[in-house]
Amino acid sequence: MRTDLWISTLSLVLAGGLAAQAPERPKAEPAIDAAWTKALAKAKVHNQRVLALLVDDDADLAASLKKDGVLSHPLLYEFETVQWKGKQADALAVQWGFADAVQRKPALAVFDAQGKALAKWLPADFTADGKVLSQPLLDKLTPLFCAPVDAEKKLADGIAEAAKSGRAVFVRFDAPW
Amino acid sequence: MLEEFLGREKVAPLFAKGWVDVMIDVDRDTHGKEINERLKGDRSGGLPWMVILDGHGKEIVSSNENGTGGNIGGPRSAPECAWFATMLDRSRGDKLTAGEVQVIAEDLEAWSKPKRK
Repeated sequence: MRTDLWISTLSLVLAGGLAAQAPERPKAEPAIDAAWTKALAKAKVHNQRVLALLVDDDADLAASLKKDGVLSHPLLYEFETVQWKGKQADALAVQWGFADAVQRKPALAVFDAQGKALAKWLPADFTADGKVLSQPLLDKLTPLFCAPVDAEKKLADGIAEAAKSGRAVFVRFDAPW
Repeated sequence: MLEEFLGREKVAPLFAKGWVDVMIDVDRDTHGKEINERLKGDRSGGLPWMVILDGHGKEIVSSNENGTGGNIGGPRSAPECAWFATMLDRSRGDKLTAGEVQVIAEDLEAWSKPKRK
């Protein structure tokens, strides 16, 4: 075999091998997109942030936070919390430019209702010895709370829009609990 | 729960055609509780409570059945779902046909039925 031909053949084999070994970039699935879209829509209606929990397959940080005496109430009131596990979490981490979270979980990300990232935290930012540091995490979350909305203005805007469009106003009163 | 229903594929475009959706959180929104008390008055019922207003802010119908009855809340039982459909029918104006309200009513029934005990 000619040397130049041998080298180019070797290059092709190596290139092919490397390509085959390169980690596949995770892709977001329609199911993830649907959950994400739903979380944003809910956050918009309720004047909340979205708190994304990226965890390992066998972890359930959402359940732990729900039971946390310091965090459960503020999370219920101020955040639409969504948890993603394993490969789904990895896909979102990559999509959000938060690749460190692929290897280091649990990780948290906070978004506004338009999907703009406000904060991203790795385990070292809010855990110690595998446990969530409740008060320090709350101290990080609190400045990200939405400012309260004036319901009088919301109602007046709704009535004005109804008058303009010839529709009626459907007013729903509810509470986070 | 109601919000999930109103966001359903079949329902959302019809609902948006006829109604401006205003969600008031009585705990978190400033003046939320006062507005709830003002619009509900002496009528019974906790949360969720609903009222449909016209473009002048005048009440057309509320979630209190037949005006002064119990609050249907998040409609689940057959009578609650029926009253919800009545609320929409009474307030649809010329934006929706009776048939379109019927589409919403049928979807509500399909969505609620499995959740009934």
